[in-house]
Amino acid sequence: MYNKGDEIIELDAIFYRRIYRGDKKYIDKKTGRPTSRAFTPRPNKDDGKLSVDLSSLITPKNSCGDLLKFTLYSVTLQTINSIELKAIYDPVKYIFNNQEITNKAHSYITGFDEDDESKAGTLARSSKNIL
Amino acid sequence: MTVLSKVASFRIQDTNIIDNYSTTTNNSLFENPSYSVGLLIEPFDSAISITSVNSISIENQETINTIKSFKSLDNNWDEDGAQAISLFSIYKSIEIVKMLDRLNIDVYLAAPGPNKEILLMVKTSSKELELIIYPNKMKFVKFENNEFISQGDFSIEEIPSLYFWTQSV
Repeated sequence: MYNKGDEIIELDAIFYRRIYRGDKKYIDKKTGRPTSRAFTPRPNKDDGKLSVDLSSLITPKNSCGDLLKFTLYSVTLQTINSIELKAIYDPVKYIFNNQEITNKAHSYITGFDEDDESKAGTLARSSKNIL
Repeated sequence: MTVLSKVASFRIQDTNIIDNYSTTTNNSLFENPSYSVGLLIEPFDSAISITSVNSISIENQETINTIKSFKSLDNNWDEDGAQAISLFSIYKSIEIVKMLDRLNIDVYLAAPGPNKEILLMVKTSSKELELIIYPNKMKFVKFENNEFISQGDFSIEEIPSLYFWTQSV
């Protein structure tokens, strides 16, 4: 088991990435593949990290949340490491509908260079649709 | 009377091609979203012969309409903190689509990004060229068979050579 801040190193680890599905703005409507923009970190919000869930600790439905608003894709640690990124275990607590929720699966992908557009494109192209 | 020294290409807004043709520069073409008719004007003494050329393709017009629709995306449009798309990104993307159209290239996809940017993609069976237009920079990324090839900054003038890469064997 990992502690918060540990690098995830199981070679067969798989991560879920929740993607907004509204009007398929992040999805190539012809192929169903997400665009690179769906895997682009937000420097102003997440400090250049990409939020994901470790699939061994959460169900796809729980990771996706609202199925009407979001869709779910997976990426492997093998792909993440192959482009010199790292996955860090980062369980979080947050308030939703006045209830404290703990997401023990939350992790983030880090190592993005703001000027490097290739990594988001590679993650998108290697991702698989789950939900 | 001044005559044209060689065949020149013009675009006009009105379909009354004899009375309303006008000369214009490439830059003003990009700023005018409503042009719809193309002309070739060939001087012969004092006579002018006019031939229609294709207007903007249906695919690229749809792409332009998609890009224009990004104006309605407010902050947090993806319910995950995405920022509103910048007007500069919108206008520049439309300019690029029109330039590609003049090269007879259909843009495969236009998509908004979380950091005010717009993604334009040109695609062949094995090659994909991503053009990413931010408010303060423009980046290209090349992929072949889903493998990353190269990336960098680009300017409008470099678009034809970037496109030619997608056509190379």
